Amino acid sequence: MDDIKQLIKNVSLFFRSRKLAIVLIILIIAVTILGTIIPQEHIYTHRHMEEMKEQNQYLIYMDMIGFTEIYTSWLFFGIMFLFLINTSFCTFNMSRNAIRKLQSSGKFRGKDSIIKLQNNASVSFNNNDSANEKVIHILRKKRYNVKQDGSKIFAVKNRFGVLGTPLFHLCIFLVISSIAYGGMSRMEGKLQLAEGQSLTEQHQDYFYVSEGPLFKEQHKNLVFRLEKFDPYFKDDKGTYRGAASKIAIVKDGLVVKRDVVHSNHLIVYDGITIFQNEFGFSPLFLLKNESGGVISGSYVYAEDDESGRYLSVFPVAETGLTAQVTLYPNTSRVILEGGYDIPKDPMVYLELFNGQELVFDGVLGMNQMVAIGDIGSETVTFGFYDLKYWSIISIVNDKGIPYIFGGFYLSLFSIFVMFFFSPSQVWASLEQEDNGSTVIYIGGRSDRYKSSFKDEFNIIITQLEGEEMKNGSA
Amino acid sequence: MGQLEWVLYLTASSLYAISAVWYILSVAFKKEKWLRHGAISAALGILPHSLALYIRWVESGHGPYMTMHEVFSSYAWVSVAVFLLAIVKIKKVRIAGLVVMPIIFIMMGIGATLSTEIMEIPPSLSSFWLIAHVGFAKLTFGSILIGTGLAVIYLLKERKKPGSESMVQFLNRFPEKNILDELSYQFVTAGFLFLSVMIAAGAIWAYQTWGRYWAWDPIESWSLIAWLVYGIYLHQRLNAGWKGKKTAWLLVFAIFVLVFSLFGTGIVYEGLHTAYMV
Repeated sequence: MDDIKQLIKNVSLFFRSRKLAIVLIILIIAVTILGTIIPQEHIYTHRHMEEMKEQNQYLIYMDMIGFTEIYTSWLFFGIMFLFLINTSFCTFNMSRNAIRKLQSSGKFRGKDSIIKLQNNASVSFNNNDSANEKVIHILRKKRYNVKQDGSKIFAVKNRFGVLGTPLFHLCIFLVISSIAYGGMSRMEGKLQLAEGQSLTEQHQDYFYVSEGPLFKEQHKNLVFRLEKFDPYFKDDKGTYRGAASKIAIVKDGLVVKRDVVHSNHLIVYDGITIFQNEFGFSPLFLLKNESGGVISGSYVYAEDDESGRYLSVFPVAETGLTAQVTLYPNTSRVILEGGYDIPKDPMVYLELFNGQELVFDGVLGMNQMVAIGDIGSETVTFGFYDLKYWSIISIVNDKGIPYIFGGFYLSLFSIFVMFFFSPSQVWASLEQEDNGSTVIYIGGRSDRYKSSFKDEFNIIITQLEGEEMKNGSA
Repeated sequence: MGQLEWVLYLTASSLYAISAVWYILSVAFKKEKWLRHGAISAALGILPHSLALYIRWVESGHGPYMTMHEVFSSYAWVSVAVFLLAIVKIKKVRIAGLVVMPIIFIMMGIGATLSTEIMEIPPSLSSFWLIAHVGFAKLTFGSILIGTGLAVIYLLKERKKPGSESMVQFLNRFPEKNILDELSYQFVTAGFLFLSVMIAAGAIWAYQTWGRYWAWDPIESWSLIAWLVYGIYLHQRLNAGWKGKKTAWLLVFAIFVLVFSLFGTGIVYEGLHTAYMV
């Protein structure tokens, strides 16, 4: 039994060790630096990473040991887990000590105890009638909370400052555990919507979904509709806000929320948060018969190739052909205030393939078409008829966020308490001397900023001596 | 950059240089009263500097945090402002000018060599949280620079073999070592609080802009590293009883981490902040 107790004690001592905390912090620093030196998967595109691996053999080994995703590696998780345990033990220990300190700090001291304090002095008063009041008055002016028991005085300032350190550690614990909880219960999905299009929150409608192992699927029958997209949105004050999507959230056929989402302006509804992401163009292509009737057609997504062109490849229904489109949204350049472009006179460079064989290539303006052959007895045309935007909105459900930010705010408060509310205590004892005079023995201490406290203590003594001199002269 | 702004910038730089020279001369020739001249030159320098920043702010329509020129200039301005406020409040701090003002002059010099072109602010940066983020970054640097300056003075006083007897006497006129140590601790503590606010504001801004509060971007990682290094400093002071020489050396090391985090990462790494490091 004693062995088990000893083992528990040793484990507790190990985990609440401050040396362990320092070692773990140094390890966190080392791993974080490694993550800034070794290229990380989350920073570069997959293609870029593959190219780098071809050029640098060492990256392949780094990849094998998980160092190319070091912040989600078992090594980092392991260190963080140990750090979390260490923080929880330290927090518990510190809280216990702080509470003990708070409970024991109200005790009075006699002369013998006071003169052992690092800051101590004695002042003689010839007239003892008001000596107590003078000490109390001076200490109160210095914002001390003063208690008196007969000839003994105890004064304390910033008493609750002792709680700053445990509170800060509690916040670290809260932030780390909230990040862990948020990461495991988080869901993030991306919906690609053309203007006017609606998509549901069902999995098949997302083009990207990431769910943590603890995420619980709870569909709320929501539908997201992109009502309008503006790449150069101006807010009510006339400030450019960049790409913005006007989103309607529909539930059971009713619009429950409608708002514009853009950078620094989110939509929050029923635990989910919506962010503006990428955007691009959706040209409309129609297959028509001789009389102009539409056989088939749709808006297609064209992706930005980062050179001002947008690319799309799609099958042309019922013809067996594949269309490869390069869209130029601004052939007549219109520049808005602030250097932004707006689409004007868009054109497409259209290539049609029958298998590998190129059967047509040429440029089409809006409402232009090309005859591409016969379907049955009719000659059909394929043309470019409209241009809309598409927008990607990110839908995030992260239950850890309020706790993480709550932990942030609380930790800032706790740092403030920890360092700017240094607890100071002053004790005084009035002793009657044989010659009939009264001597005030006064001493004090502070947990932090001892030099500043020494200055303050000296001022208190000077003021006390000044009071005595006033008495003497009176 | 307009001609007036440039003239004001150069005037401020010159006055900061004069201030740095006064501080250095005061130690070299053991003239304590020259420290006052140094402080006055710094105070005179901040006037044209403020005007130059104001003109740029009006011209660009945004705060001085888009280009590296603006970054260096505004960091220097905040550091001088914090230093001047500190010496008004606590006279003992003025000796830190020996370290602070030469660094300010170097920052202004670097700022002068960088592109002074005005950049438009992208919509993602139009956020209250960004202003809080960069504002507290500047306050962090200003406070910690003074704290480190005091730590360097501490180390000068601590030297086992002082240059001469008169130098010892001169250094003895400045605050006691324990007071320097404690003042340094107080400035670094304030800097740590500002650094924490900077990181928290940055995380909130990133969440509102991109939907995530932390992406392990190199500049985020280095700000965390700087925070942890100063965390070690405070931890060791509070819990392990470290003070004096040990903590002074730790601060000298830590300022390099902070400087790299604030100025170096945007140059060395590709990431979120790289686009504006011109």
